[in-house]
Amino acid sequence: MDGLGFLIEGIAAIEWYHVVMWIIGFIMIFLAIKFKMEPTLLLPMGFGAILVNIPFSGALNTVEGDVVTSFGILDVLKSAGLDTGEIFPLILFIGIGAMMDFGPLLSNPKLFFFGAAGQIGIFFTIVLAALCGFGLNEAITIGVIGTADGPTSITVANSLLSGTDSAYLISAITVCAYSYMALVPVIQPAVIKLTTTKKERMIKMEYNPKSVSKGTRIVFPIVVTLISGLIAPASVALVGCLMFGNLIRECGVLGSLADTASNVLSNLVTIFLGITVAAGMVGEDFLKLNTLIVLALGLFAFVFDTFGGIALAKFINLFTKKKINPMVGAAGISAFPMASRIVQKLGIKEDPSNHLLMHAAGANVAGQISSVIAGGILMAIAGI
Amino acid sequence: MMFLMSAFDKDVVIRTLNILWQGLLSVFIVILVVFLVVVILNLISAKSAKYKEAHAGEPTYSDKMKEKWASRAAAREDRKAQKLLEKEARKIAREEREKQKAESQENDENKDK
Repeated sequence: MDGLGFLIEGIAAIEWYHVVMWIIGFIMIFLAIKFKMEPTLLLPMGFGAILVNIPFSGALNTVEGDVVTSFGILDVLKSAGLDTGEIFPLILFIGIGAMMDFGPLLSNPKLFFFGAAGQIGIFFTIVLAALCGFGLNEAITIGVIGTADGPTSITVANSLLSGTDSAYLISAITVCAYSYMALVPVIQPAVIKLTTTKKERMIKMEYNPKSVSKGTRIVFPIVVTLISGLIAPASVALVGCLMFGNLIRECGVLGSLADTASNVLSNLVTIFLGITVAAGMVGEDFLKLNTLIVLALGLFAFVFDTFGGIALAKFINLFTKKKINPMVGAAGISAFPMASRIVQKLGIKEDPSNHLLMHAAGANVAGQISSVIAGGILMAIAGI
Repeated sequence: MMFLMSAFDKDVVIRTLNILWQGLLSVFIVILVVFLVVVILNLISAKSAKYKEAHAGEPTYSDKMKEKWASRAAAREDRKAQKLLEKEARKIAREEREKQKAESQENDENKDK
């Protein structure tokens, strides 16, 4: 029987944290399949969480002392796609840019300010995280969950925490960012209902679509890259990739590339990104009190972001005759396109003839741009 | 949460408070600049659309340029054809001269004989 001892080696090495992480993995897969909550990311992450929490998992590097004796695919992918220049999230941004139509925003540029207001939660969360005892870089990365934007959260977290003692927070922050993005349909309606009156939610907004010229659509991504790059050079990679994707879409001569970027490329990177992020979900490091605090702070960031947009709309309404539905302000967070869909749904619920989708979509893409800029600004402030 | 808050570092909190106003202000400044650029771009394209509408049917600048280049190309072709003709005429004249020269030489030789 001694010769077959290896059969129970793995079973004998199971610890409580392995089992907890399996349960977390199962819950993520369940949420992805049953409730279709961000399935493209939650499912690979859930499966990855199980994969890396099997004792002596071959998916991770085997280390003896300081020497890696054998390489595991997830650690190799993590090293190539996340630790080295955050390649995966940046490539994903090219795909996201190719999917985005900035038309509703360009025809009503006032909506840009709701995108900026939708980032308020980031900065208040940073202060709150510092009050909870986190260091400066840790607090900044926790605040970045409020960008409601997975790739930005991963990029900033990796830039600030990779190779430090707080590197274990990267996975918690990523899981948190994507989980709350999946929970936007639950979080936002609650915040909107708590902070607006029925009368405000019933405000109708006229939609006068102005045609946006092809020239404007082409110049816009280049100009945004230049402006944000000159003011916050650290944001160039993030903004540049997003705007490059959009330029491919809008130029009109690269149809097949735009199609590839928005479908094949983004799907391919999403598969790798989800499972690679899970490489950091090793139970021993992941299951800490700080992870729970990060989850709580992430929720605060999302709630405050939504509130920021609503507050700005209410503030503008004090001075203008044409009132803005405060729910449009709530769509200023980056979670695209869920936030705009929720606003449309809530608008119709209050008044079936109140269609807010196009306004909300404009605020939503403004949120996407603002979140990337906010990420770059934070990296600049942190001295990266 | 209170036990956590008791552990905070005062310097870090002060720095995050600075980040709060710096970051928020920076985001709004960048967005304000982008907003202004988009407004200017929209104004330019609206003006250009208006101009096109007002001058509908009239040849546009690019039409004029195309016409100019076409006439220049035609003139160039004419000059080329003219040169070719002149060359051809010179060739014929030279051949004629050589022929006459050869004939006169032949006549002279005959006379000598």
